[in-house]
Amino acid sequence: MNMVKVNFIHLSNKIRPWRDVFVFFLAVLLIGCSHQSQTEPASATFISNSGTDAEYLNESYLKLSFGSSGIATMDRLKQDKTQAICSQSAYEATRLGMPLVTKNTSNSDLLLESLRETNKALIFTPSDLVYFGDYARGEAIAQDGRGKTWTDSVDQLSGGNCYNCHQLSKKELSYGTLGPSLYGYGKSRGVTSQAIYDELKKSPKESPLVQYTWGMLVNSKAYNLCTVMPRFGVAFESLKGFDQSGTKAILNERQLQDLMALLLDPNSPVNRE
Amino acid sequence: MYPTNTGSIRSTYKDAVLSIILVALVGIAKAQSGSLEGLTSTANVQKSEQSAEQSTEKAIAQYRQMLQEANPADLYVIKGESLWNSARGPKRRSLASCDLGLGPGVVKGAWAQMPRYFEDTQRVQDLESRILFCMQDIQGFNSVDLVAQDFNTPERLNISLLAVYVASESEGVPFNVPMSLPQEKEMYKIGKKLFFLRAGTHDFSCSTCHSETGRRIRLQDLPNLTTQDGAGGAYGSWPAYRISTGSIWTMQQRLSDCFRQQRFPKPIFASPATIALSVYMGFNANGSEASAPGLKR
Repeated sequence: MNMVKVNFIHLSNKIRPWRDVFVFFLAVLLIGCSHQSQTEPASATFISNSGTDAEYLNESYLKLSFGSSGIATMDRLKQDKTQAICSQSAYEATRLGMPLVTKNTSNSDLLLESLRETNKALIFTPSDLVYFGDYARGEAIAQDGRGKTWTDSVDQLSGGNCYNCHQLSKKELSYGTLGPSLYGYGKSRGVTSQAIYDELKKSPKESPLVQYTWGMLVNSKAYNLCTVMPRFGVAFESLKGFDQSGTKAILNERQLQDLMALLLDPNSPVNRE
Repeated sequence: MYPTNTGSIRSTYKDAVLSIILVALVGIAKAQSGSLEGLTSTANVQKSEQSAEQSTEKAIAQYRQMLQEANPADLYVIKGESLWNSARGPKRRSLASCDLGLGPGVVKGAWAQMPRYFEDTQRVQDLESRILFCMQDIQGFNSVDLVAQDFNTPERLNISLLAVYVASESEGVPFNVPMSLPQEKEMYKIGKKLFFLRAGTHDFSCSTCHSETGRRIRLQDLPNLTTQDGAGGAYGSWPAYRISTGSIWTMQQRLSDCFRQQRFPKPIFASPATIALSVYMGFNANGSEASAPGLKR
């Protein structure tokens, strides 16, 4: 890792009144200039770029504390609006001593609604309307937690790591409980036979179950803005380079199709006893 | 028809052994709690899911208890104590005069009151960054070089050993992380903001996993770091011996690997953000007893 050499200890650079005063005036100047173009509500900003408010987590503070490593570059700390507002709402919920709102944001606030719409627009339709792949490959993807960390390579396919948070099959005991159990997902939603499954494959556009399940996998934030579930099919634009399938998302189209089969195929371990 | 181990995902020997032990323990727990009910109705499905859940948790608790009997960290504490008292570095001096907040040379109970603001550096410092300062100030080590190194370089490993020794001298002492000075309050606020900062490819933050009680990632219990119990049990047990890596990890290293899994860029050792997070967790832990060195998966 090419780490910038930083000094947190030396006494010589601890007090710089001139610098602080300069930065303050610069910030005031910048705020003044940017005031006219300010269209975003204040609540959509979690990381400040002014650096004058002690309570703000500002950009320079993050630059002092983190460094790019491998594919995990500093761009990753630039939040999109969804990340910013969900950070802020969770932060404020604990500050007021209220329960966290990250799990269920039913706020009908206009901004939240528009952000949900923005996320909904990112749900794409798979090529040739093929929504289902192979459940055995889906199971492997659900087990695999690799990808996108600073120890991973850029072209490596990522896993979905579904078992980290969900129970999915009867056989796998090592599952997390951050998300709901998905054991019996298809069966309990009426996909009880191969004939019914074949029907879903034939007319996926007509099935709310197929559309909802696909949508949750591609972009969970379209349904619950601040859900802890990642947006598996949404491209992360600032990612440096594509994986071997050519996507900047966590999972590619084929992997998402395989997970669809894992969840809905009546023969998959999810739907078998 | 059922796919059998085609993925070779968790292929390490350790994991295999661990799985076998767990499966065996789950079997025992299930036998003790009576036979599973049939999966005939929805009510029964839920009921048996709950009982399977409980027996899994019981098995994990048993496994942990078996491990806790002999903690290899004790050996590292002895090494760390010896390092603390050895004349080292360019200045050939020991750390015996290092001030950890309770006065020069006082180690007993010092960690339970860290991170804290230090007059001499005019900074809030955590355990590792304070040790780093003493190594530079007293022994003449170059802190800038040490910060740039990885966790497993010889002198950085020494910092971990020193940290596990110092922390062990607070075992059983209730945390009393000070929060009276504006610098400490500011660090707490920043730490809390960082805790809720969602970013990166996966939208993760610390709070994704650590803001609810009773959740698990795979089989690993997740402490709720926003509560006294959660922060006390988790923050209070690092530095710890990690079985999966066979080494001592400090809180700095624990945080670094959390950020790796969060898909964030790499936190710089002893940086303000890492200290701020420890202030947040440490203050939340106040009142709970320090239990480091812990024993981890």
